[in-house]
Amino acid sequence: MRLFFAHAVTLAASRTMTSNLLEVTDTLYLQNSKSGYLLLEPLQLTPFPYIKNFASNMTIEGNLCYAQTQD
Amino acid sequence: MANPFDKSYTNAFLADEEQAKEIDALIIVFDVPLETQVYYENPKLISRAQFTQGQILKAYMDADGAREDVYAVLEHRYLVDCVAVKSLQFYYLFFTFLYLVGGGLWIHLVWYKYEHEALHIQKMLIAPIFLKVFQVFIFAIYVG
Repeated sequence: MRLFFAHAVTLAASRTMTSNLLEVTDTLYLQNSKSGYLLLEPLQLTPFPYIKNFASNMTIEGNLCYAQTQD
Repeated sequence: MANPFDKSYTNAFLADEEQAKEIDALIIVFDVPLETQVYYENPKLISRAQFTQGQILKAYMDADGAREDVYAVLEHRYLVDCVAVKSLQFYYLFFTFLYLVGGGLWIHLVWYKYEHEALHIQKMLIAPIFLKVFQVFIFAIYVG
């Protein structure tokens, strides 16, 4: 049901060319784990639409790990 | 987790369910939009970062790819502008009305005004109009 709704809204948003109809944002905050201070300005990331939780609001907190493919 | 994976590696990574369950969110550092054929349940949240953003994130990591004193909060917000979305119902209802008027006009012309000149193919053209009415009306109901 949610996917259908998301599809309907996305369709309408793309047809009317008004991006403010559908607001989907992903924001990453990096902060110091002890003091809580932000280490840098919040980063606006691009939402990835191929997830089942796309049509819901959520906040994920935790440590950040980094990996890179080997050439 | 910030991963500048190539496209095939990313797909393989996400296809590994056990591995995907171990992480809550994934940030893919990739400048080109990614297409997939499935909707992922794990990780719960996936975002895409530009290469320059990936470089910024990388600068906050140690050589082993992790840092205990750095805490990340990733917020996903969907449909925050509910007033604008609500107005979509009027948008779809307007098009429902428009298609109904068009369909009614077509019926009047083909079945009544030009009944004897009308071809069967012209009468059949009413079908896509009414399918369109159903589509936009269903959209109006869901959006509402």
